[in-house]
Amino acid sequence: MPGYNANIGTQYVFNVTKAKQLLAQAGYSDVSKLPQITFSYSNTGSNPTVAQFLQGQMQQNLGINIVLDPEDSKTFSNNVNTGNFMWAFFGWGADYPDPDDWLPALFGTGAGNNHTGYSNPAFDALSTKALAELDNTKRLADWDQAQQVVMNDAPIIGIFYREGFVLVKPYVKGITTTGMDGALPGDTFYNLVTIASH
Amino acid sequence: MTRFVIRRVLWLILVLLVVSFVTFALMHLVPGGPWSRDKQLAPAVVAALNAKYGLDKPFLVQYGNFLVGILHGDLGISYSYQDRSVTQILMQGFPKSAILGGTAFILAMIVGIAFGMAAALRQNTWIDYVCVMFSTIFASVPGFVLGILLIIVFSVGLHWFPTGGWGSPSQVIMPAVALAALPAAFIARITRASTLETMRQDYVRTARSKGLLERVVLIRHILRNALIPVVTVAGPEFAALVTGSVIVETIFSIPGVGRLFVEAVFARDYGLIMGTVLFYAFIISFANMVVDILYGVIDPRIRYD
Amino acid sequence: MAISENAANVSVRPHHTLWGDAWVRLRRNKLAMAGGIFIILLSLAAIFAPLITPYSFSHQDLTAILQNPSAKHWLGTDGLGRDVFARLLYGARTSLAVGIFTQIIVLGIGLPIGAIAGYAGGTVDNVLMRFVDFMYGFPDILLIILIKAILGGGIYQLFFAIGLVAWVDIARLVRGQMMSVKSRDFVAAARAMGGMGPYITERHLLPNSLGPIIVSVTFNVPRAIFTEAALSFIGIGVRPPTPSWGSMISDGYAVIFSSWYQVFFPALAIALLMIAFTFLGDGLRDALDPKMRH
Repeated sequence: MPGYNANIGTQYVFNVTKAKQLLAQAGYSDVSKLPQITFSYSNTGSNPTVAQFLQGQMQQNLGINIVLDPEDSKTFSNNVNTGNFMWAFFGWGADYPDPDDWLPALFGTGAGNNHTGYSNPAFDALSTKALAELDNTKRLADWDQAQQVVMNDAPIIGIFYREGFVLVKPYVKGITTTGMDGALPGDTFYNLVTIASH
Repeated sequence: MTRFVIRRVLWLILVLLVVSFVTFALMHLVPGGPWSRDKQLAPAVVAALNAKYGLDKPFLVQYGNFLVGILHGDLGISYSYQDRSVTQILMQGFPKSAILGGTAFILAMIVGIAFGMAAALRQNTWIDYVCVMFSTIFASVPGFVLGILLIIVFSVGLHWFPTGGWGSPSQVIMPAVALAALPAAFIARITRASTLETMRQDYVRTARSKGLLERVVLIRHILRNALIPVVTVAGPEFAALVTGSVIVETIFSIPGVGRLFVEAVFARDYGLIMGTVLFYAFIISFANMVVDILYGVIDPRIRYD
Repeated sequence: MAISENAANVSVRPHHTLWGDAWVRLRRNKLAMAGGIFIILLSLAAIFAPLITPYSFSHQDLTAILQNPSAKHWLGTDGLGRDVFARLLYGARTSLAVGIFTQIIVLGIGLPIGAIAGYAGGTVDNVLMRFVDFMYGFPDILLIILIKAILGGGIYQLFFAIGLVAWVDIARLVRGQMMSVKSRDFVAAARAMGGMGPYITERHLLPNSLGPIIVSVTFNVPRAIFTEAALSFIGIGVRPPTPSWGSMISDGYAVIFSSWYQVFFPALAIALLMIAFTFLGDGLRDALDPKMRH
């Protein structure tokens, strides 16, 4: 994936003490004073497990009891799109492998999929610059910076990337997996696949 | 008599209208629509889609269009499966539900009647007690729980059957058994009660005192009369089984009408929801109507209610 | 003097009441007693769960996920390291709560509708009964999703939603009872004395139909329990971390080949509880049947 920078995001590691410090700084050294936090998610696939895991972690590490709000997927989409949530579990898959499709749509001011309402002129400026830039190296450097801005502001918390596992029979040749594959691995380049006699 | 039938048919149509209207209303009240998705579509796209499918018209107009379509035999289009009409989808899904339901029905009838009769003819022996206990047990465990227990024992444990899917006979057996258990238990109880009742009748005593062989008495007199109540419940049971058990189809991954319906609800596929609800309501109401009419034929008193 | 003379001549008949008789007959029905005892034991276990198991139903031990049953975790652990036995016990609370509290809604809606239909008769009755017919043909899931979307996903809303689709049988029952009571002589007498609808309902209808209503409720409870499990299984039931046997089954379904006990124990629990209620219901029905006096 062009634009991938292993260093971005490493500032956040598991650190309960620091978390408690930050809470105290925000005025909540006594977590029972926190307003109720609701975590919404679409009740499909592995989402319930992720949500319950999150709930367990918050409870066991910080003593905060969040309320889970599972919704059926259409109700959830509707709520996310109308901003009707406090904290939600969202996913993103690009249409093409480039920062172009990962960053502006999610973090640009007023962008269609910017559900957090995030708005940072610094990011917008970098974003506009990168989108217009023709030199690839400069462009990717701009995106790097833009990503760092977002990471510092933390409007979202990245939890995981989905991994796919492929089992291929020895007589199936030419499967080329890409990051853009849809439902089946290698389906972007099926025309290159051959099946040997077996 | 004709007036009786006509009245029942009119009630059928009325019930279908009400069910379809309320479903239609609920469908549009539930949040989210067919175009809701996490990666939001641009408003212009949504507007264009709504215009294309007539979803931008007022509520009553949409409902009216739906009814007009029904009169032409058109159940509408599906928003999830955009290359097929609802009728086509139902025609694909229904045979699977029907085969599953039909197999379950036959199984339930055979097992139920056999055990019920055996219990009645050997009343108060161990056969009777076992039959009563098992029929109570299986009448209380729902198909979904039984299906899961069957999968654990026979698929996971013994590897005798696949856990689901459709296409080969071995995939029909477990879901059919899971579905058939409850009706079988129910039919067994009815058969037992009815056979006991029939055996006490005078004409049976007469037949026996005439010196007829027990076997002849059984077949010619007891069987035929004991089975009348069973036949009357057969209709609605068959309709219920055939319209597909939603949860059993989900567990066994069978692409039948029941599962299609749940998926349509979760996907807000308005077309498929309406088509399926109407289809279900029709089959169930039709079966009830037929039973009502048969009752009217058998018992003339009922016609004058 | 007269009394003591007569006392020797009067044969004393044991004092019978409907309830006394019913209790005696129920006690003799072994299956019903077994069912009742099972329900009581399970309820006690659910109530005293904290005393039976040291584990909480929500504590996640991520170093011990998907473990087989062992001395430490009697029924193993689930995908998030939670103790399955604890979740089973606390899940019993959910199932029993759903079973019992939905009946409040069911009775709250079904009793009045049935009584009104039966008492008023005529068009009112016809309309109400057609409404009942319609409820039979109606897709419950849509209604439940709608209620959850509007009212929220809490457990009280779930009671309400399940109760809302389950009152039909009670309404029919009460209507039937009301119609048969209405036509009896003592009602005509009561009316002649000036008694109106509510009086007749309270003094005559309710005591007479209490038996069948109790039986119906006993059969409705397992149905509600099953509905909650099924809803939780397809994802629109109780909210985590509230444990539910239905969601335990759907959680464990993905790993059914490697950890079958995740699915087996909740499924078995549902089956046993429903069987117990059915045995009890059958027994109650036989015991309260006035035609079967010994």
